Order: sequence, then C-alpha cells, then structure tokens
Amino acid sequence: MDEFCIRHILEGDSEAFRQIITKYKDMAYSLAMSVIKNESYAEEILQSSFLIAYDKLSTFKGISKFSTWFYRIVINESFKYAKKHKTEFIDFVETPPEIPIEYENAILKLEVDDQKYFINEALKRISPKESLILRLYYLDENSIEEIGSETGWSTSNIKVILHRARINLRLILTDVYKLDKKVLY
Amino acid sequence: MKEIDSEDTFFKEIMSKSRLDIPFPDFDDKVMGLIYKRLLKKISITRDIKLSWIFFILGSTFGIIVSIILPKLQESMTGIPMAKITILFLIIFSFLVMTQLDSFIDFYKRRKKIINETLTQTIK
Repeated sequence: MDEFCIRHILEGDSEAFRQIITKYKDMAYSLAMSVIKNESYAEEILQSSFLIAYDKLSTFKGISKFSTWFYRIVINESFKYAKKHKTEFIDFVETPPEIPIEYENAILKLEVDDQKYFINEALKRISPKESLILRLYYLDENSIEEIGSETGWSTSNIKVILHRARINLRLILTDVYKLDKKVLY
Repeated sequence: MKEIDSEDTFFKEIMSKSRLDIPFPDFDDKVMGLIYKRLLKKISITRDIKLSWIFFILGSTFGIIVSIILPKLQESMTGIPMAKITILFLIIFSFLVMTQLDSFIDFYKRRKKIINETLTQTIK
C-alpha cells in the first residue's frame, strides 16, 4: 500500500499523502510523545515531520521500510525540538508523581482504559530515550537493527537503554503506582 | 531463560496498551491544508523567479540599446554635454546590472534554503 501511495504522490497526486498520514499518525504521535511528553508540542513535531516526509519523498529509495524512514524523521525532529526547548521539559522527567493512596485498592478493578492511562503515565516518567526504545521494540515490534536505523544509535547502546527501560518502567508501575504484575495482564 | 521469556511477554502485554491515539481529530486536514498551501506558494515562487528573469533581460536589453544610442546623439541636455550623460548612464547601468546579477547568483546558490525558509514562514 505504501509503495502505491508513494508512486501516486510522486506522480503529482498530493491527496494520496492523506493515506500515509492516516496510517502512520498514531504511532508517530506515540513516538513523539515518548520524547516530548506534551500533546501540543508533539502535534507540532508531527506536522513538521509529515511536511519533511512529503518534501523529501523522492529521496526515499525503498531500501528500508517506509515506516523506518519516516520514524527516523519523527525521532530526529522530536530530539531537535527537545534540544531547542530544553528547559521546558525538565519538570516532566524529574518531578516525582503524587499518587493518591486510594489507588492501591482501586487497582484491582482496573479496566483496559485505566491500564492504558497508568502505562502511558509511567512512560511519561521514564527518560525520553527509554520510553522511545520500549515503544519501538514492543509496540511497533522492530528488531534492534531496525531501531538502530531509526535512531542512529549503536546496537549495544540500544540494548543497554532497553534493559534500563524495563527496570525503570517496572519500578514505576509497581513501586509508584502500586500495580500488581497480575493486574496488568 | 524462562524468566526472560516471561519478562518479554509481560512487557509485550504492557506495551501493547501504550499506543496513543492522536487527540486532534482535524490533524489530517490540517497537514493536507499545509501541503496545499506550500504547493501554491511554490508555484508562486517559481512564477516570481520567471518574471524577475524576464524583467532583468528586458531591462538589460533596454540599457544596452540606450548606451549604444546615447553617444550617437550630438545635442546636449539642459546644458550638460551628451558624453557626460552617457558616462553617468553607463555607470548607473553597470552598477544595476552587477548588483542584480550578484543577487541572482546568490539566489541560485542558496535557492533551496531560501525557498524552504519562505515555505516555513508560510505555514507559521
């Protein structure tokens, strides 16, 4: 489907790009949120990423998957944005969350939506690199090599970040949110 | 090994719930709108470049014709000899041609960057 859309866009049918947007916007948004942790900034990043992808589509040679090529743009834009607005994001990472005590009992009745909420809140509280790697590896099911192409990081670096990410996410879910591992299944 | 597998399953399960849906329902339309706006701007930039070349060539041709005709005129203009007027005209004409040509060369060297900057300003 991607090749078909790309061919049409390159032949001048700009409207075909809408299908690319529809297909990739949610995963791209998840990736941008991993780094930026702010909805409106993530939207800005996504807009510019899609515009860059549209402008540079002719340079996409099809050697890698389109998603790999596009997510690399999103990740680069996200880190560029984070670097530019450095001071605004410090609080998101460092402020410890305040969890009401009653969560401890309510947790046993967690619905899927609540689980989603807690997991995404936990992902907001780990470092951008860690939540990004977790989403690329487990959510988008990329291999370590594909993540390397998307982020430009070395294989060993990715493995280290992934290991740290698992520890930190588990820590936040169990210690901070008092989530029982069983509840999350 | 079993522990690693179970950890992997645990994180797969957890992370399957971490997909975020973009909370802006008009996002697709917004991006497509920006793309069309940029396409229009690109067309108008191309037209402007073509027009500026046409006027540059027309102006240069006119200047060359005038600089050929002027020395052939014998009369003086408001008491100033024609030779002086011709020199003054040639100085102004060459200055204009040089500066315009310089701008053109400069533009063609950085045209991608300039067009991109203009397009970026368009979407802000």
